[in-house]
Amino acid sequence: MRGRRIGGPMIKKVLIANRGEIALRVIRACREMGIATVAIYSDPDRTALHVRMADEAVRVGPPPPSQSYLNVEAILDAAKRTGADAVHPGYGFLSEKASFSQAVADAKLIFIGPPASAMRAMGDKLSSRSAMVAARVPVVPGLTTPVADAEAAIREAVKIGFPVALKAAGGGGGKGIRMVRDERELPAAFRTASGEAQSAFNDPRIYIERYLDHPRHIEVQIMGDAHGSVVAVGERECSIQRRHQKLVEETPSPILDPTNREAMQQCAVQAARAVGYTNAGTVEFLWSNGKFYFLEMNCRLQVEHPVTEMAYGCDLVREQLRVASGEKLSLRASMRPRGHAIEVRVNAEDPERNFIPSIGTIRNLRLPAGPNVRVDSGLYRGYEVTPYYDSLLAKIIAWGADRAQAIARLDRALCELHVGGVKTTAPLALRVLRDARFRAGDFDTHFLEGFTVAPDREREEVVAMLAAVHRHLGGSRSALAAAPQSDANNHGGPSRWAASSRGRR
Amino acid sequence: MKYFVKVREREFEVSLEDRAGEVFAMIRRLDGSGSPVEGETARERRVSYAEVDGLGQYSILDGTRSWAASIEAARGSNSEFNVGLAGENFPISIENERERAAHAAERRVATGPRTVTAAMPGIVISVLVREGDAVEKDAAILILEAMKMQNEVRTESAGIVKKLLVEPGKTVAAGHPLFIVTPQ
Repeated sequence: MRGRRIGGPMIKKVLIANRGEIALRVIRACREMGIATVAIYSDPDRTALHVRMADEAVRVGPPPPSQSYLNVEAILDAAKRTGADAVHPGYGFLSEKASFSQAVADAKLIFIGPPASAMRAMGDKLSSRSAMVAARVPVVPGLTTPVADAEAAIREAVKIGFPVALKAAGGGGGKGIRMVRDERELPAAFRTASGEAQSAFNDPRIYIERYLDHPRHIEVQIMGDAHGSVVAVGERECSIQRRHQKLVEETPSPILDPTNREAMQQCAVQAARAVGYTNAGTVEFLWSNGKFYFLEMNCRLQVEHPVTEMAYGCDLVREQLRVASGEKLSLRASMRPRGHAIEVRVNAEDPERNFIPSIGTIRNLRLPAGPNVRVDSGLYRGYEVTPYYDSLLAKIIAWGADRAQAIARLDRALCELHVGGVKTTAPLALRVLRDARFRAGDFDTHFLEGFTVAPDREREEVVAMLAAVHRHLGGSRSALAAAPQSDANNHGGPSRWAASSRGRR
Repeated sequence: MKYFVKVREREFEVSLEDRAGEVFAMIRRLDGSGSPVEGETARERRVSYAEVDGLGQYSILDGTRSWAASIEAARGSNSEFNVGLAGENFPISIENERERAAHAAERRVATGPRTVTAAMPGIVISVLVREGDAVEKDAAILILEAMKMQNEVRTESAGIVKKLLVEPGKTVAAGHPLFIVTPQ
């Protein structure tokens, strides 16, 4: 808790220990509050937007994250050199490392996030389950201690009831998880889950939970200050995901009624209080057959925080900065959403080829605009998508008076978007928005498995036509197409097409 | 000018005509064998095409229908593009008539039975194999005498001799088919 002040003066200069759209998001909030900003960058990010938009920028190392955005020594040195008095970790990278939070505090800087003790309590699946049971927050039925071996696992699984999920105690992100239908499957699943947990988390401990069939993923935004206030700021429905990577997020959830929304928010506040949480955090729940269960707590700002901001009319990053300065929360308890907000993530992945990462240079870029559309993006023309960092390029968020209007608006925005040079998840997200089941609110975390859409026949015809015309007129400038009859200049004098196609690459 | 455009899995034939500075297009969908799909009629469409920014954005008017398209060549290719249209991405490949014919010939060479023809006029002296024989690459199939020289006519690929089209004593002109080999 060192470095955490109550009622102290406002933070004056923030170092943002991150990159991409989230670094830009934090810089924008700081700028609006008159707080100076320090960006850090690795070599390939020298020209990144977050570097250009910040007041100061410091190089922290070569491309690999381990030598740059995870390089604690270089980051703290940058803070010292620039005289920053606080560090915002963003999400990913060092944001959930209790050791980083501690190192920041030890350097007499303010860590804009929860105390290291809360991060430690929530960082381990078993200790967080125990803490939640003690705080009377419902957890998925199962163990709060690891099982010693496959035989013990079978005994416990029989008591819990099949199907069960074997989970890594030190885990997260879907690694070290196995679904087991019956006793016979268990020994092999135990071995592979334990091995995976060992290699991914350096911790082979496995525990058992009941396997929830076709759950929904719903999470609650919470915000706490150093004066003892903790409030919930609504939920986010994040069931449209693939291998625990979310694609579409929205608030309110179409499945919650006011009663269970209230109950879920209450549980999230209890969970945060149980570990002495301050600043922004998210309590994730699984929803199954009308009941919800604590899944985990993310001790940071979430990628999808903008949907909460749009529906609740708040600025969570501003609130983070205020709370970290020791001020009281400006958010009230039991806030009500206004309308509906929905977000899609634009990742540099090819959804038609099993989501393989797509790298390249973005030459052609058109970002959406218009009423009630928000674009959080670090993209610019010339931006290079490298294999070093997270594939998230941009988030497109739309607000509407109701869910249907928000979806229609986001559909419209995605039709305006074009990110050329790499493949992205945007076309897939657009198909999801147009799916009848999605529109009816009838989906769960398995929705994207095998999700396909019939090709758009009318568009294909138009595409064929414009490809031919492009080749015929624009493409004829290329040395490869020398056929004289394809040259638009044949009509006497330079045509508007020939003139307009000069200088293309 | 005719173009053949493959959009995802479907193929279209696009005929373009330049008339008085304007472009008119007829589009026909092709079936698997490359013939227009029966029962689908094509109508002529007037197309206006304008490049926007030199970075890949184009404005297309199909009659009065307006499309804000993005077109990016795949690695500088003139035959493979990615077309972005209204939030969707369409990988396409395109050939003109000449390229289509050349590619079709290449494909036949690569996969289909290959007819070997006489490179020069001459007399077939002897035939060294029988129909149905398996032959190695560069195997001698027959001997052709021309200008008092006997030349072995060899296979270009390993395969099965599908058909012998000449017999000993036969006089052939240049380009006369000699035998057919099915590559294996």
